[in-house]
Order: sequence, then C-alpha cells, then structure tokens
Amino acid sequence: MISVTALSKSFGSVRAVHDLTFEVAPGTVTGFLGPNGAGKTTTLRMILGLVRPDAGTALIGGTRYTDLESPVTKVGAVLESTAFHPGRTGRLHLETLCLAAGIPDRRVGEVLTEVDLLAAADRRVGGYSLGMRQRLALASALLGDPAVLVLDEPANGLDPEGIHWLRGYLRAHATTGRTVLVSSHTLTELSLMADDVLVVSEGRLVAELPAGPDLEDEYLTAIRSSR
Amino acid sequence: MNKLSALVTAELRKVVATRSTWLLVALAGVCCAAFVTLEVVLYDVAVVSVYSMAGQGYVVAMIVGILVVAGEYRHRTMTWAFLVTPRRSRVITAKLLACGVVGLAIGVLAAAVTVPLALILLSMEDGPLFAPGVPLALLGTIGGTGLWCVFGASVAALVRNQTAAVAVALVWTLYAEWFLVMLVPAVGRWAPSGAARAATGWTRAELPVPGELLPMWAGAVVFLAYTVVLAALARTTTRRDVT
Ligand SMILES: Nc1ncnc2c1ncn2[C@@H]1O[C@H](COP(=O)(O)OP(=O)(O)O)[C@@H](O)[C@H]1O
Ligand SMILES: [Mg+2]
Repeated sequence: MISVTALSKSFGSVRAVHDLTFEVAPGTVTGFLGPNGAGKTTTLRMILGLVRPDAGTALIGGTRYTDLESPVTKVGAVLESTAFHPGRTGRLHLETLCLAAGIPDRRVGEVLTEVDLLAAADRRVGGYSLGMRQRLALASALLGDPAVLVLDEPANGLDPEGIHWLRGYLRAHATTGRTVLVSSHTLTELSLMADDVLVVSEGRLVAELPAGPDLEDEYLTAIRSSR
Repeated sequence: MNKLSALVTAELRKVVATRSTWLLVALAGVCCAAFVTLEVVLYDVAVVSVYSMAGQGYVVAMIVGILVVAGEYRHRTMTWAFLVTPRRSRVITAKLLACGVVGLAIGVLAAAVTVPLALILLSMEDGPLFAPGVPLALLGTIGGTGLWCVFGASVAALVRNQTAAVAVALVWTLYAEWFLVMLVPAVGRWAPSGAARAATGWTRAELPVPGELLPMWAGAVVFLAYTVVLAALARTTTRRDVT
C-alpha cells in the first residue's frame, strides 16, 4: 500500500506538487492521470526517495522508501526519464543491478523472458528502440519480484501490441494482491488499464474516479471545475 | 542492507564492460612509453626519474575515475543505483573504492610497460641500469595512479557534468598546477600534482628554475590527504534531487 500525505514540492517558484494526499490500495491498478506538468513525475519520484519533499510524507507499507530494507525487493519502479548506458548490454545492466541488490542471478533470465526481451539481451542498449528500452526498464523493476509497482508513463514508446501486453501484465500483477500505481497523460490508456484513476492538475488532486466509459466526461468536468 | 563488496563488484563489472575504459588503458600505456623515452633521450637524469615515468598514466587514471561517476549522471543511470541503494553516500563510496582498484590496475600495467622499456633505453646509454630507489619509486607510481583515479571520481561527484569535470581536471592538473610546479616550486610542491609527482620519486634536477619537490614520503602523504578530503566531500554531495 502506498500512502501519500500532504505532499508538497516546489522547484524555485514552480509549485510542482501542492498538498497532495491519496492512498493506493493493494489488489488494484491505480491510474495517475493529469496533463503534462501536473506533477505526476515529481510525485512518483518523491515516493521513490529520489526527490526530497518540502513537506508531507510518502510511505510504502508505512515506511519511507529510503528506510526500506532492500527496497528493490519491495518496490519496482519504471521511471519516465531513466536511461541506460548505451554501450552496455541489457543483460549486463540487469546483472549489475542483481549484484548490487543481492538478488540471485537467475532472475535476469526470468525477467527477460517475462518482458520478451531475451533475444536482444546481449545487444548494446544504444541500439534498442524506445519500446525495447521500456521493456528493459520494466524488467529492471521486476528483478526483485516486488509487491508494489510504480510506473511513470510506461506505455510511452510501446507499440499497440506492447501496450496490450503491458495492460494484461499489470492486471495480472494486481490480481495477485499486489499494488500498482501507473501514471499517464493519456486518458484512453488509463481507462483501459486502471481500476481507479487519481486525477491531478497543477500539483493538486482534483478527483478520484472509477475507470470506465464515463471517465472522459468526468475527467473533463473535474479538471474544469478545479480551475 | 546490501553489502559494500557487492556494490564495488557491480561497479567493477560495469567499468570492465565499457569500451572507453580499454581505450584509455591503452592510452595510459602509450603515455608511459612516450614519457620514458623522452626522459632518457632528452634529459640526462637520475635513473629513478626514468622509472618514475611509470606514473605518467595518472592523467588517464583520473579521466577513467571521472567517467565512472560523471558517466552515470550523464546517462542518467545514477537513478538505478539510488533506487537500489537509497543511502547515496554508499553508492559514491562503492564507486570510489572501485576506482581505487581500477587505478591500481592501471598503475601496475603502466609499470609493466615502463620497466622493460626503461631497461632497453638505459642499456643503450652509458650509465647505470638500476638504482636502489627504483622499487620504492614504482610503488609510488602505482599507488599514485590508484589515488588519481579516486581523485578524478571525487571531482566528478562534485561537478557532475562530465565535460565540465574533464575540462576542469585537465586544465587544473596539466596546466594551472603544473605551471606552479615548474615556475613557483615553493607553492607548486604543495599542490596535488606536485605532491603526487614527488611520490613517484621524480626529481626536478633538469628544470631551469631551482627548487625541490617534497620528499617522496611527504609527497605521498600530502597527495593521499588531498584525495581523502576530496573523497569525503564527494560523499556529502548526494542530497540533491534526482529529476
Ligand atoms: N528539476 C526540475 N526543475 C524545475 N522544475 C521542475 C523540475 N521537475 C519538474 N519541474 C516542474 O514541475 C512541474 C511538474 O512537473 P512533472 O512532475 O514532471 O509533471 P508531469 O510528470 O505531470 O508532467 C512542471 O511545471 C515542471 O516544469
Ligand atoms: Mg511526467
């Protein structure tokens, strides 16, 4: 479970996140929807201990990410602008992560199979397409077999087949009682992928909506009335 | 808490798997070969100074150290490291230790190139082939090269930007500081390059301006102190947001 309480962050004069409070329950896929610049990435990075909040807390199962014992075995993260060293192979990237995190090496083969990247594993990442990088990022997040997944715009760069696969994957993941928080600026994507959708705008939570056919109307209403 | 030894091994695997590392290692060998030849051919110097050219891989070692740290920021791969190890000072410590190992390896390799070449070149001259101070000098060159790699990595942790770190480090050690060593030795011998050079057993006998470097042991202590201070600073610079 992820609990965000009164979280705030400014970059200079830009209020990226303002007094944000929400909870993400296990067993569901929770969407995190908002226009570009709404503060989604900043929020997710605060949950993962990469950005320091000005105020408020972000806890995972009651503990801050930075205080977790062996965090990658509890939380898997796919971040928007993480990248890979272009000169290293996908396999080396995963193997060194395993080594550093104390995860058994056999997980490398397992996650590569899971994200269907085994064939490209020994090629340099510099030659990967955006979709392949996205799969490698997901493979990295899965290495520790975590109960919580945090994904920032994971569908970016994926082809339709990849998006379909991702949707099914996250669904299955949540069905086993795990927690999934997935951000997107695309409404249709989340309406297919998520159970519930948290709508953010200008750093504030403006609505919590169930995903479904009415999502678009409700979203537009919520965004407009928040202004 | 993941083990520090595992973090260091992971860093070493990345360094070994990176092509630019090997290009730079080869360059270190070339530098040493060139400098030992120049030293014998151009100057009439002490035998120990000839062997001390095994320390001429230091610039390369420093650049390798810079790339190990700044490369992670440049390619935004530091995020992965911080996700695995949220205590960021540990990430930096592991990188600095790995750089120590890599730098020592470059130092050993540089000595392995320099020593045979020095023997060949000296045997073509009239003077002695060897001097009692040579083994200690080689120890100084190897240890110094190891420290230079840590030094570079620490600079990169402070500067973060790869191009800026390389530029600052090169201009400072090769030009700014070396002018001090050459022209104002009273000051230059206390600078990192002057101290590190003293630790290699090199003497400035052939230079136009008189003045001594620090004694070898003192040079080693001073350069070690610089590296330790810089490394300690590097470990404290990890509070910034990673966006
Ligand atoms: N490192 C940063 N420095 C300055 N401004 C930033 C930084 N990161 C994000 N911002 C600003 O914070 C706001 C929220 O950004 P972000 O969290 O990336 O939104 P989203 O992911 O929803 O598009 C934007 O106005 C963005 O320009
Ligand atoms: Mg974003």
